[in-house]
Amino acid sequence: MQNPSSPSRLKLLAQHLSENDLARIAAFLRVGCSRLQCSWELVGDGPAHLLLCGRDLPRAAPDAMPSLSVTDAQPGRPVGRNALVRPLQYDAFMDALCALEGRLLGKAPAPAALTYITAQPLGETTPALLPSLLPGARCRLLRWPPSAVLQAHRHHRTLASFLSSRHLDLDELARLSNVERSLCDEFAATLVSLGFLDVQPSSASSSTAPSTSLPTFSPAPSPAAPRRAPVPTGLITRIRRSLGLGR
Amino acid sequence: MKDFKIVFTGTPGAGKTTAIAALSDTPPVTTEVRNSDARLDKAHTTVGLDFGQVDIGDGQCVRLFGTPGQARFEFMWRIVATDAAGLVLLIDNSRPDPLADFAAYLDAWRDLLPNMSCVAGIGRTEGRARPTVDDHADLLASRGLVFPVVAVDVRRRDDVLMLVDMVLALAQTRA
Repeated sequence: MQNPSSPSRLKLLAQHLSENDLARIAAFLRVGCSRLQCSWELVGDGPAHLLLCGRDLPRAAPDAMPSLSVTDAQPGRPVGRNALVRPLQYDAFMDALCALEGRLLGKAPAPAALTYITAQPLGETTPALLPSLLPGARCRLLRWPPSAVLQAHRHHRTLASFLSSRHLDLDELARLSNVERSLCDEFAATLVSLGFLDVQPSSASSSTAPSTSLPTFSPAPSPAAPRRAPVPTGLITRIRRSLGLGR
Repeated sequence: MKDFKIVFTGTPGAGKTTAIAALSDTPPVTTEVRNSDARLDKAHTTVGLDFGQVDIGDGQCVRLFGTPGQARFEFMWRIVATDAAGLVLLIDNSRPDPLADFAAYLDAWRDLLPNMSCVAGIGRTEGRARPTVDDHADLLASRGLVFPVVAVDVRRRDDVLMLVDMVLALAQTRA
């Protein structure tokens, strides 16, 4: 069997995982790349270096592909070795991946890469795993995000600041922060995937849908939302200008 | 229109006086005296308050106040914080138990935090790996609080500006 790729580029094979799991993993890999020694690619089939499986794993042969399972928490039942509990948490996932990556890199020769036929093809859907918010949805941070998320882009810290005191829709966020709407979308999607964002539906649909920290998928790009309260441009703008903080 | 008041508070030696001096248009007013507390590794300490200001034109200014760091001057903190729009909480990560320090300040300011634009700056992180900034953020989350927690070096004006920028962002969304 051939090596699936060079050691600096490793493949993570995902099987039997929900869209929510996959979205989180994609986000974790994106924001946590600085913690990793290798570039990890999430794949749905083919040769890989590590298996991440949403079902109990069979007892592994000594030369089997390293693996992690993803399980639902069950009261009173301890989590098994090499198992992650839903909802997937950034730190737990990255700690496990870093440890396994170290084992993979330390192994010589490289472990045999096994080929699995995917039960849930990722294929071309993988790049679009991050959810987008419904038009007009308003979001607010549930907690201050980890450094890895904030360091992924120079504007992430600013955007997180704006989202920490009240719910904002993404048009408001872009307008207040003067950061491109596309970056706001991307940042919000990452936070949703990580479970750090409380999302409220737009006022038009708020009577039917409750607030949720789970992603709400939108089939189409979000159109411009109606303007809300006017931005206080006076004193704060002048302070920013005086301090040289204009964005 | 009222002036905008930002208060810098936090542990002794965290750099409150330094942060205010980094921004103030005028030489800051300080009440530093020779330190008599053997537990503090510093020659001077603030016993009253620090004050600086940034002129923004039309006779208005941003007023910057620093509280004394030592807990025995806690009674001063609320006096200084009256009418403040923003609070910068500075934690010295080189002290023996920075998380306990952070928790103590969160307790002390607990009832004011929901109505203030607060930012936490964790200083002196370079020489000490733990606790990380994320550990401080975890502590904040465990108390159900959400505001920025970032690593800073208050000797750098840009870092102090970053803290103020985040306070302004919070104030802007609250307005």
